[in-house]
Amino acid sequence: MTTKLKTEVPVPSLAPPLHRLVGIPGLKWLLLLIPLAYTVLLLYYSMISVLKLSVYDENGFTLEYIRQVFTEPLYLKVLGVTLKTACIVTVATLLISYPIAYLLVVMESQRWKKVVMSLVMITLWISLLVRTFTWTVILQDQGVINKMLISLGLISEPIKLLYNTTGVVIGMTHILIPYMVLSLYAVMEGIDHRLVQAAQGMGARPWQAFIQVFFPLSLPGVLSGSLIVFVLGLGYFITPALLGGQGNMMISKLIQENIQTTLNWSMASAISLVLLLATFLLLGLAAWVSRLSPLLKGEK
Amino acid sequence: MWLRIYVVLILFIIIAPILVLIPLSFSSQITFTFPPPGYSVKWYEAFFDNSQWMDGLWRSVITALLTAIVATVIGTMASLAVHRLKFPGKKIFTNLIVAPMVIPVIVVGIAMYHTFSMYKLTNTIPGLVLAHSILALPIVFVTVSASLKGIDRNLELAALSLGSTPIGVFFKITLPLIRSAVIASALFAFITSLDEVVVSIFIAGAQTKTLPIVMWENMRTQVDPTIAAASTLLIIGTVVLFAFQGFTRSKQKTM
Repeated sequence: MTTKLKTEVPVPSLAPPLHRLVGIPGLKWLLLLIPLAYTVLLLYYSMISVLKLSVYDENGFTLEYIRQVFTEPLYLKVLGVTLKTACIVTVATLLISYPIAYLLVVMESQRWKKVVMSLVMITLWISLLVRTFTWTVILQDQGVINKMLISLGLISEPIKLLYNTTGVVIGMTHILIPYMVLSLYAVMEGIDHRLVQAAQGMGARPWQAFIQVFFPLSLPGVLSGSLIVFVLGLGYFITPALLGGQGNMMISKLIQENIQTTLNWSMASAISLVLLLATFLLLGLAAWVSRLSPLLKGEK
Repeated sequence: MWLRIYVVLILFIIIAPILVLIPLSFSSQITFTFPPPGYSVKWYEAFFDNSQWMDGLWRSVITALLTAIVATVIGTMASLAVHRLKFPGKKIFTNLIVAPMVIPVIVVGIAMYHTFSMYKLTNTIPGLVLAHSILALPIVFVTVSASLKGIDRNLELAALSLGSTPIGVFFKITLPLIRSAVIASALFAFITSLDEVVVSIFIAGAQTKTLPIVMWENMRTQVDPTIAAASTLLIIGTVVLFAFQGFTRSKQKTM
C-alpha cells in the first residue's frame, strides 16, 4: 500500500524551458571533444609531422638519418654520455632518496611526516632554472664547496666541479630526488609492517629484518623509481646545458643544436625519435614492473 | 636515530643550495662570493630599471595567467569527461592528456616550433600560451581528477533528479566541491608556465622573451647578481602563491 502511494507522487519538474534547451543531450560530449582536439591538434599532430622528417625526406622514405644516429662517432659519443650520466644520476638519486622514503614510512608523527614531505616537494615547484643556476654559483672554483674544502685543508687547489659530468650529475640528482622519493614512498607505504615485526619476533635483528623482509618488498618501488628517474634524466635539457661543458653534451642539447645551429631538421627528428622510443619503452617497463608508480598513476 | 640525522642532513643539502642565492642577490659586489663582502640592493635596482628584465617579467605574468585559465578549463573538462562520461578508449584518452608529463620537453619544443612557425605563432604571446597550456594540462588533469574521485556522486544525482540541468549541476554542485583542487591546479599551471624554458627557447622570439628566457640568456653570457635578484623574486613569488593556496584550502576546510 505504502509503496503504491510513493510511486504515485509525481516528481515536480521545476526546470524552466530555457534550462531544458541548455541540456541538449549531445552537449556533454564537448567535454571529451574539446580537450581531445586541443591536445591532438597542438601536440600530437605537431609531433607526428616533425617525427615524419626522420624517415621521409625529399627523396621519399629513408632510414639514413636513423642509421646515422647509431653510426656517426659524434652522435654515438653523445648517446654514450647521455646513458652514462643518466645511469650515475639514477644510482645517486636512489641512494639519497631511499632513506628519506624509508623514514617517511616508519615515522609515527604525522606532523613531521608532512614537514619532510613538503620539504621534498617544495623543490619541485621552485624554478628549475633557479635550482640549476644556484649550482653554477656553488660549484664554481671560488664557490662555497671549493672554499669549504680548501679551508678544511682537504684540497689545496680548487677542484673542477663545473662544466663537466660531475656538475651535471650533482645538478640533475638534486632535481630528480622528489620523483624518486614519491615512487619509493608509494610502494613502501603499502608494505605490511607486521611482516617486519614478525621477522623480529622470530629473532631477526632489526637490520636483518630490514634486509631480508622490508628491502625485497620495496624492490618494485626501487625499479619503477629508477626507471622514471632514468627516463627523465635521458631527456633533460637545461641542467646539462648549463652545468655541462663541450665534452659532455647530452642528447637534448644535440637536438637543439641541430635545429638552431645547423638547421638539420631530419637529423634532429631522427634523434628525437630515438629518444622518444627509448622513453616510452622504459616507461612501459616501469608501468609493468609496478602499478603503484605515482607519476604514471597520477597520484602526485 | 642515525637515519633521522642522515635525512635531516640530506634535506639540508636539498634545500640549502636554493637559499644561497638570496643573500647573494643582496651582494655589493659583482662576483658571486659567499658570504657576500657587503650588502646592497643595487641588483634589485638593476632588475627593476632594466626594460629587458621588466618586459620579460610582464610577459611572463601575462602568459602564465592566460595559460592558467586555458589549462584549467580544458584540463577540468577532460577530467569531467573521464569521470562522468562513458566512452570507449577512455584509457587512451587519459594517456593522451597525461603524456606531456613524460614526453621529453625538447621533443615537444621542436614539434611545436615546427608547426607554430607554419602558422606564424612563433614569437607571439598566444603561441607561448598554447605551448605552455599543453605542458600544464596533465597537472590540472591529475589534480582535478583526484578531487573528482573523492566527491559523492549522489549529490549530483540528487540535483539532477530535482530538475537541475547537467550544466547547472556542474556550477552549483560539482564545482564548489572541487573548488580547492581547481584553484590548486590553476596555480600549478601558472607556475609551470612561469618557469618554462625549453619550449619557450623555440617559441619565444626577440619580441616575446619571457623572464626565464631573459635569465637563460644572461646565464650563458654575462653572469651578474641581477640573475640572483630575479631568482630570489621568483622563489618568493612561488612561496607566496603556495602560501596563498594553503590559506584558501584551510579556509575552505573550516567552512
